[in-house]
Amino acid sequence: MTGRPPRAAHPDVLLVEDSEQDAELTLRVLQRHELAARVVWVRDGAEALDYVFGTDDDGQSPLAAAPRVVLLDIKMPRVDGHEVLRRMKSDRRSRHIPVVIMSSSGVEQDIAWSLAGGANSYIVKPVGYDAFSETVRQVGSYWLRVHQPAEGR
Amino acid sequence: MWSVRAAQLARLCFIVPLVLAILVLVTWLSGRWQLGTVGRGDVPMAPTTAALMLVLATTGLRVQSRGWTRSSAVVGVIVIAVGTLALWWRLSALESALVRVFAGGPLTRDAGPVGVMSPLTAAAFILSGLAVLGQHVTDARLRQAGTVSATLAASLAASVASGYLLPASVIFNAAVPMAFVTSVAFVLSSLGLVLSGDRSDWPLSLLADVEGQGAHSRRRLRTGVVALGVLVTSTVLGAATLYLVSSRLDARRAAANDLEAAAESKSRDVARWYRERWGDALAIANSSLGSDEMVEFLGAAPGTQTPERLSRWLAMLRDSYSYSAVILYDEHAVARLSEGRPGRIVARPALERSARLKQVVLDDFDLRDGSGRRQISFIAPVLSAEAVEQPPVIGLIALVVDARDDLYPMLASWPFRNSAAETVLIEQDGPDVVFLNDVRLAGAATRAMHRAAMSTPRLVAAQALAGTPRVFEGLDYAGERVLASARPVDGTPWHLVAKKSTTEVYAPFWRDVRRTGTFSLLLIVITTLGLAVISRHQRLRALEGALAVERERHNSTERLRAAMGASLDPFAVLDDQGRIVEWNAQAETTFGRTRADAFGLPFTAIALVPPHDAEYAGALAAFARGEDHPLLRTRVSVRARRRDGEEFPAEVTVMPVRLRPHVTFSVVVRDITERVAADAGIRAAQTESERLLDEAERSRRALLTIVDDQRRTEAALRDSENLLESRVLERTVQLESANRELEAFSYSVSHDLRTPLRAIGGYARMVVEDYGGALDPEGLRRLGIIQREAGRMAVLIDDLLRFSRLARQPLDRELVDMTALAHGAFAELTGDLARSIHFVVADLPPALADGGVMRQVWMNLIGNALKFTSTRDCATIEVGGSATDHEGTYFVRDNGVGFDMRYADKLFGVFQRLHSTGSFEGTGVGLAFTQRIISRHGGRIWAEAAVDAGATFYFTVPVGPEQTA
Repeated sequence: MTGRPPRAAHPDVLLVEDSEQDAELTLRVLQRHELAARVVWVRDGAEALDYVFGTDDDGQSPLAAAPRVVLLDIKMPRVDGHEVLRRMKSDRRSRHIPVVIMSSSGVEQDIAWSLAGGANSYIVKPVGYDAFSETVRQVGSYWLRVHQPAEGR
Repeated sequence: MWSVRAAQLARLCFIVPLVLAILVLVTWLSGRWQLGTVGRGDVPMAPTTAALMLVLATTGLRVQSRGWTRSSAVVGVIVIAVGTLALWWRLSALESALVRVFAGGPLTRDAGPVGVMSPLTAAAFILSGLAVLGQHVTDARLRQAGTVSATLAASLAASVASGYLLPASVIFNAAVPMAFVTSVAFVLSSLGLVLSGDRSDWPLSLLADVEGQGAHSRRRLRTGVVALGVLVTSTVLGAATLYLVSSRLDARRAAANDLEAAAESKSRDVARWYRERWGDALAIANSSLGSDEMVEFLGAAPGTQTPERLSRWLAMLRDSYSYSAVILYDEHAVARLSEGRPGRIVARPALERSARLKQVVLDDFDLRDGSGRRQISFIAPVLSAEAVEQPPVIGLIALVVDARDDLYPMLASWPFRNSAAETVLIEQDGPDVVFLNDVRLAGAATRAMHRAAMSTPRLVAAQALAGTPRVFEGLDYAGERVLASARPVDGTPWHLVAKKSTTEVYAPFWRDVRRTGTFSLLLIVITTLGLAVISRHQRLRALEGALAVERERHNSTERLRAAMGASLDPFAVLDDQGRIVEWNAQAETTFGRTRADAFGLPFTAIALVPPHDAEYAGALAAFARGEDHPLLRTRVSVRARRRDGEEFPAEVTVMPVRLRPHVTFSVVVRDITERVAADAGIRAAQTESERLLDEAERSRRALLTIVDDQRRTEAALRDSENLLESRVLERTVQLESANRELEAFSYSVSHDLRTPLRAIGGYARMVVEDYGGALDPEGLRRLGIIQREAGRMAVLIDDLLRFSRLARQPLDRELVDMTALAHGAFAELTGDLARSIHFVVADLPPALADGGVMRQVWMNLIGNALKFTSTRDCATIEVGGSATDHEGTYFVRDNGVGFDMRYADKLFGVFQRLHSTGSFEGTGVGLAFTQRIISRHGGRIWAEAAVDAGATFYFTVPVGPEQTA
């Protein structure tokens, strides 16, 4: 799945990842384990915010899209993961959407900052492929199968 | 010291006048008052003066031991009263009566009465009495006035005494002089009074200790010196005046004596001369010379021959007194016979008068008419010898004298040396006075001068004829001022005047004026200079004193300020209005106002927050009114305010100080912000620990559901605490700017290197998974290499991350057994190694280090040694070390391949390798990592090696913990 996906009302996963290869690996894992039917991939934070809030968000109207979980990279061009996290967690409409940070960085500062900013989980992407696919599988299975979202959502 | 000496001196000053007064009274009582005088012009001290001086001096002596009492005041009044009486009502009558009792009659001496109090003495007594009374009043000005009058009395008496001491006697013309003894007594008694006065009064104040006195007293000092100068000057001038008055009197008296003596002797001479000439004429008149021959001759007609005998007789007559001529007249006053120098015809009226009166007649007409002839004729009548009763005059004989030859030389001669003195013979002629002899003025003026009107004012000759005193002053015929003595010449109609120019009379006086003037001027200049020196000295002392006082004041202010500055708390001094007058450095900091800014501002308004400001303002005002207030002298917690309006908790202590007449307040403000914050911190810590305890409790309960082992719970708690602690420390480390670069580096490594690596491995795997069946074994092998190398790169990256993390990881130092670490590392590294290795470990000194990371050091160095000896059949690894006071040195030596020392500088760089990957495994991080650990411990690492000759790695670890890098 490449390119800009059509806007779906409620996708299962919003993958925010600037690395095309990482995105493909992630999608491959999610698909192979049949964890997510609808996965939307955007390349940076600006696209992610546009996708969730709509390009002309007035702060009042319903969200353009409310994915079941957001897999968010930190280091991205234009708007980085911290900013996306901040916007989503400071808006009452998007506050409930789980955000899982998936970063190559294990830097303590990033971890602390993300958790303090309301990230629901922080995952360091392993370098080895086996470890990576196992991690993605566990994350997907937890948030899409085990996790119980709020009532009516 | 001063007062004792002054009292001794004052006692001496009173004892001498007392003794003098007693002695004088004794001389009066014994009738030998002359003993109390000195020299010819002096008078004795009057008995009244002596008695009063006795009283005054006795009182002065009493005062030295008993102080100023009521009796001394009474004495003062008495002295003033007697002095005033003597001055205004003249006690002289009473005194003269007293003297009569003592001496048996009124006494005078040199025109002055003796035994009567002089007006000067009376004035001195009044001044002394005022001085005595001045000491009894409390008013300082009056007391000073008293001392001044004592000084004036001393000065007055000193004038008189010095007048006596100079070589002339002081006698006031027609006045009562002050006796020498009296003047001496007064000088001393007045000095005694001055010394008995207050030390701070002038003139004693000039000698007083003036240090530390203010500008006011310096001005007074100057005034005092000037006053003393004026007094000394007037004393000197007074003495000089007295002396000069005396000198003038002396000069006049000397000249008068001379003139009187001259006039007396000359008038006697002239009178005798006149009597002789008169006698000659009388003898002729009574000698019955009317001999026959004379009768015959006179009776004959003129022109008859002169009898021989008659001519001889006339010649004899002329020669008997060297008359200039003897002339014989007949009864009709016709000259018949003349013997001698022919002269002017004798005045006919005189001849006729002589013939008529039958008496000797003087003809001095020539002297009077101003003709220049100086002929005096004594005319004797020649009576007939025949008739006894009423003999008729038959002729006249005139005895003619030329005054120039005879009389005038007598007048011109003087019994003493004389240049300007002159004797003049005068006679009254109607309304005029006629000068009978030649006056000195020669030539044409003489004629005009020989006669003057009696009414000419001050004319000496006129005064002489009018019978004025024997010696007098006036103008002579030439209008010159002269001193003259005149007397009538007995038996003649003439008067004789001896006169002398006053210029010459007073020449000695003027000489004295010049001398005394110079002397006085010199004395005044010396005195002035002396006083100037004293004044300057005293003023310098006063200024020095004032300077010392000022310096001390300045020092004490500085000390106070320094003390205030040293205070850790803000400190302020307020005036009675609550305004800031002092403000220390701490107050400047705390309140944000400099000392200059704060000066004069109301403290309560700028430093305190309502309602404290009003409360404290009220407390200050209350104390200023004299009431006390509970807020004072106690420490009160208040809210204070900085200049920017920030409030802070403070403790204020206001201490009022009453420095009459002022009130000041010292204020100490203690800023307790930190203490309050510390309290809050303690509370927060308590809350936090309570929270942690709660958390621990929750954790414990939660864990209890899984395991019931309490120790595990505690361990978990400890772990969480450790985690918390390490996070805090880590955060601290992160703040270090030196680590920021490394931070960014490690971030980029962890993120940017890992992502492509993951893709490489991942995509290779994807190919194998998806297209494995389509590939031949060679293709699969190559894909496997890609995956393996990607994995190796991941290890490299992890090493690097570990290395960078080391910079942030805090060291947990403790005493580490290095020997055990070296053994442990070797054992771990060679656990499954088949090689035979000779491993030698000496006893290593323990190190103060982080055991965990130090183990890494040994692992790396021994690992390196193992690696580079792997090609050796007999590998030898030697570990050793030594220690000094401040560091331990360790080494690892191997006999491996070594390296070229030229590349030693690259040895410890990250990813630097001196050997190819093919020959020896390794990432190139190990030594960089080791160096980082050693340098973080504050130590050094270096290596010595040679190609194929083994390598030795040395490192040091400091003993002290403070050298942490």
